[in-house]
Amino acid sequence: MRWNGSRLWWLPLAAWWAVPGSGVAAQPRAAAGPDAVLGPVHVARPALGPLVVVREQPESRLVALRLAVRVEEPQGLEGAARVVVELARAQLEAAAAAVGGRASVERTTTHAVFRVVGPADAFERLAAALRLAAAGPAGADVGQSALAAARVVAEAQAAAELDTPEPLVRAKLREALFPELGSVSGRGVDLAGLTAERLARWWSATATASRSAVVVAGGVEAGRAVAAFEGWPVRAGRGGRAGAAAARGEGPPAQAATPRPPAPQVVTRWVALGYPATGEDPAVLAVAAALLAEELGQSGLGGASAELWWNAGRRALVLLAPEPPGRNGDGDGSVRQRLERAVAAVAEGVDAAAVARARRRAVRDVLFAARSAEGLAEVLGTMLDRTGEPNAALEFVAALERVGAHDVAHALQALRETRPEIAEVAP
Amino acid sequence: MRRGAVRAALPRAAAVLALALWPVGLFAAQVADRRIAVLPEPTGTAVALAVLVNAGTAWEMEREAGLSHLAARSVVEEVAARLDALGAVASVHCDAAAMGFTLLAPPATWRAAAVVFLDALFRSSPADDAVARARAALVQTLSRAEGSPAADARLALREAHFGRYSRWARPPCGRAAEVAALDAAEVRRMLRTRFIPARAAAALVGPVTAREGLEVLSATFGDASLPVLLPRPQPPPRDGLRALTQATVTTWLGWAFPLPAEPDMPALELLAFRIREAVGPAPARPEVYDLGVEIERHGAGGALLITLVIDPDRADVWAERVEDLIRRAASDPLSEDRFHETTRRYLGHRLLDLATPEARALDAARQLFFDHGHLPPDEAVRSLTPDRLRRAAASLGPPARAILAPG
Repeated sequence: MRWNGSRLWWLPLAAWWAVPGSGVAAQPRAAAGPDAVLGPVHVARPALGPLVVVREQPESRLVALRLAVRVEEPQGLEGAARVVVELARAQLEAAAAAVGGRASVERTTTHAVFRVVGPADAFERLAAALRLAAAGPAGADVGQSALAAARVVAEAQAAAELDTPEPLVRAKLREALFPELGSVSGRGVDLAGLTAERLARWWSATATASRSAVVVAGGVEAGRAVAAFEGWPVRAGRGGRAGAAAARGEGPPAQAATPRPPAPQVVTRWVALGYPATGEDPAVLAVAAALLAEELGQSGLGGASAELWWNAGRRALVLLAPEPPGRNGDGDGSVRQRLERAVAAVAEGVDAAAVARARRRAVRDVLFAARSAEGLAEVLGTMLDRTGEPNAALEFVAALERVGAHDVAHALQALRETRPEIAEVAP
Repeated sequence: MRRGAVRAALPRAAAVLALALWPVGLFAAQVADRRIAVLPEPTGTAVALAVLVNAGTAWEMEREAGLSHLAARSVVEEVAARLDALGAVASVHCDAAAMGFTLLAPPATWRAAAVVFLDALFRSSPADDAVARARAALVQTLSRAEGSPAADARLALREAHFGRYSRWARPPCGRAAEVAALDAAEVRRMLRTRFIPARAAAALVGPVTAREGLEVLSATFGDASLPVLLPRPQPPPRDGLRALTQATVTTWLGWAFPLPAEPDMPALELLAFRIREAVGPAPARPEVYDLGVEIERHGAGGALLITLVIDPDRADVWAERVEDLIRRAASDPLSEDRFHETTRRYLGHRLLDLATPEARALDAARQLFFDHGHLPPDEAVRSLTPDRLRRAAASLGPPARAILAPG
């Protein structure tokens, strides 16, 4: 999602989930016209299975699978999803390596994500490994040592995020702009009291079919891809009070879950401005972010970026920058004022040529990010996580193509009349 | 003059005629000539063009080491803004026997981008300021790499293999001091004399039809039926030895195993994979810090290059282990089961290496350049047998060796 010259600028800092569309079919169906560059995609929900989105690439000898489970960690279980993905990592990587493939796991702001890529003719093996990984601790015999090791990794990741200025300022701004989202890091909560049983119970209630989605891209037919996810190992909505209670994290209390407030070793002051923009078109905001990034690059504000943060419910245009050495953060030349001036300059100087250039780059970056099976699965999956719509990526590219200078100028003028949320970290 | 113009137009007319008469069904498959190929991938999201030009260190005098590389980068610098306007990007890949380029473009603009890029590569001269920008960036890149143990160890291995005073022993991508002294006139001379379509191979990959792909390539490359004539090192490579000492805490071991004149590349690539699996860093081998295995080509052969970074106390053991691995691979074929498992993993790795269209295009262009044909990775791997792997290992000559140890 960050627009900083990287081809993956638009991928989300976090993948925000909306309720999946209700119109999913039992059989694969094309969700977009054949002229769509990223599609068409086939969408299905096999019996008791997760949502399955398939982009067939018959000429590809590779297949990429990306499974995302929407996660909400109740109080006392903050950070538990990180432990789950770390427990799955070794077996998933080993299964992929056995066929010359590779695997990765990640806890995004909203999801636990499991990825695997390998030869298309090994698809069933890769899908089976992914299902096993997503089954979580309930599907594997978790020993105390494995749990302890995963916990240490999860705690180290959380500490690293809260101990580094840029991730910390992002987390602060995210909490201000998207208060309904919890904290990925668990704010340093000690996971020492987490038991295998409690983790298994929570994950079993969390990783239901209705909260899970698989994207398959590459040399596999849609029917074959869908069949691999029938009979989902994680039961679809156990329902009842027990399941609901487990999802809320109720049960035997964790031992000594002592909050440990982060104490970042900040040496650089960072400032982040977030303009709420829920009423604006995300494609227009993406082009506006691209123009702002260009403006920031020319302003000499090193390390600054302009980004679009969005999910189905909320959108925000975000600007971040570190304070240059020797500044005190106040006054006319402050980072905050320079960021605000960049917004004003772009809003007042929008022209058709600049918008066309930014639009072309934005489309190009999405297409280039999707040029491998792995990248394509990530592009489709990330947008699916964010919006709940299986063909959101296709529609986003189409919408980008339609953005005009007037749209961008109008959106930026509206933002200037909005009071931005501000987050700072300082030494 | 008039006869010359007619002669020049003939290859293009022949290509157009061939396209007109080409059976439609064949356009669904890959189309390859001796030096150009189009690999249509209808569901791709980007188009990649790779071009390999017969230029490099073999044509450079001592004082102009890196001129080919600077010329290549100057071309990209010259055309970068026009490509950016089309949403395309180009980059340079420096090999010992060739200069490689890749162009990546969106499906909507690939044709215009390819025409702009090929025109800049073969028909235009970069302006002085484009050369100056390319030179500054290249000098900075080369300066950063030079003087490190890694660079010294690689150079020592080339000297042991080609002989200290061979132009092939120089760093293939140039040296900062020489590049800094090169001017735009020298760059333009190199482009005029070495960067010509008749000495290049190209491959186009992505959502294009074979017809339109061939139209674009044929307009530049004309009659592509004649292969590129590759330079051969003179004198031929030898099994020399170079030993250096430096203030390091690790030992660098290097081998250059000469390839035969017509190497079995799929089998040698599998051998390289086996070496990576058997010797590369792993939790069970904490004394191994890094491993590099690559195959470098030139006319009439090339070399399997291995560099191993290792705990000095264990260097002797691992030196013997690596050579023993090659000896055993040359004498004892793998069992069918083990071969099957190894090739399964290797195919996965190979496909991942070629996961992007630009990687596939560059791989196809390299095959056309060196082997005058193209074989997709899965076909190449499935045609392998345990005995082919053994024969490939047995075809390697006695190695040149280099060692850089703590002094």
